[in-house]
Amino acid sequence: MDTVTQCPSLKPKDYKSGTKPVWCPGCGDYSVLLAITKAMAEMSLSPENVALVSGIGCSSRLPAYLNVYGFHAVHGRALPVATGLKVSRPDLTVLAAGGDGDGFSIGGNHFMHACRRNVDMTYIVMDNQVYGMTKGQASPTTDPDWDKSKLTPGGTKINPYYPLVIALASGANFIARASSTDPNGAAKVLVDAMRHPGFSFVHMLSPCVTFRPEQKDWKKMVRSAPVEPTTDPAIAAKRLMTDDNFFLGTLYKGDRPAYQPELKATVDNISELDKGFIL
Amino acid sequence: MNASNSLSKADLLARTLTMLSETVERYDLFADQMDVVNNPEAATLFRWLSEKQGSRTQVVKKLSEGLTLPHISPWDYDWDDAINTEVPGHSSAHYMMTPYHTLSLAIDVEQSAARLFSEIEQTAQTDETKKLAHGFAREASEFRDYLEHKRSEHPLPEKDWDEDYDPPQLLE
Repeated sequence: MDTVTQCPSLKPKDYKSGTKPVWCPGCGDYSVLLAITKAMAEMSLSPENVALVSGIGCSSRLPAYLNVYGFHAVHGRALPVATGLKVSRPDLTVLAAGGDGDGFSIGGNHFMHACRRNVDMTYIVMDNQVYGMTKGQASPTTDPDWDKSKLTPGGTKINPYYPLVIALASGANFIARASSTDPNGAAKVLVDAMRHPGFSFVHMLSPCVTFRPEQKDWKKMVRSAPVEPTTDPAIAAKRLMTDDNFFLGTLYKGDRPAYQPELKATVDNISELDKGFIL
Repeated sequence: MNASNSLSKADLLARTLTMLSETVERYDLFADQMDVVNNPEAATLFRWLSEKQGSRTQVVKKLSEGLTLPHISPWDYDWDDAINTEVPGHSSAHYMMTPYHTLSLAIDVEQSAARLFSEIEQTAQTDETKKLAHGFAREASEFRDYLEHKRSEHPLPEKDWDEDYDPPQLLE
């Protein structure tokens, strides 16, 4: 990203707002918050030049905990808001964040088209395969046999959504996976994502210790992908289709130019603006 | 943090400072979490642990005076839940944890730190680094012993300590 303003003296904690998170103890989202602040500090970003837009859900509380501009948007609508912000203020570093339900179900359509538009921003989806805020219902990424919710007795019996495959097919320019069990590794992925031009998608595994306590085992299951990032979508497609959901790292780095419409001149006079609304 | 045989005194101090600072922040965070879930015993212990680590951080800062410490990127070290516990992982906390668990977590931290510094001591190339690592290892071991003694004052948790009779799950 070439519009970054550097602020070398800030430490990760300087990017925190001071508002205490209310996530459950043990929640993976604490690590994601840490990874984001570490990435921002490493990139020496000035907080006033960064904006984070979220949807609704546990993980979407993120903007309140950061000392950058934030917008807690409508459910599933973080991406359209972030897209509008980035195209009108291309000088900002724009991040969007949310959970798997917010991003892949309620906001599923926006996800595909944000990948397709390829606006220069980074989208972090904290995936815990459950709707946590509403007390534990199956989400699009839940395994078909997960039967702990009374709403889906015997499991959903529906194939889960494969966000990385969808992202590639829809045109995302950067696709990576990170894990809250490794916040330092996640910080590296986030730095790479923010520096890569175009739409960067980071699939962040973030266990829900309350409704999916078995996900604590993810820390034993995640591992670095034994491959270098590819720029070839065909290779990436094969890689992502055979992925077991626990390979970490940057898996695809495309070279499509980011979409940035030409900005119209700013209106100096309010009466000039009014003319546009006269019927 | 990986032991490395090429650590200079400044490298070791930089890594130790980063490690201790993160541990202080993590204990503070855990204390805040325990306040939120109304677990005052664990919250108080985490605050005490944070103060202890804060004092050690000040000592290391003092030792670093006059030195230019190298910048360490987060990915230059690999303490995390899965590999090391020199800094307690976020997933170590549980809303029903007892003082016994809290102290056990801190004992793991000190044990891991002592082991790491001993490794650094054994592989260090200079006497200066060796001596410093030896001191840090001894300090971590002594604090671990103290924590073990303190933990012995608390009862062993029941087998079903995390059984919540008013669980957050939607059951109806």
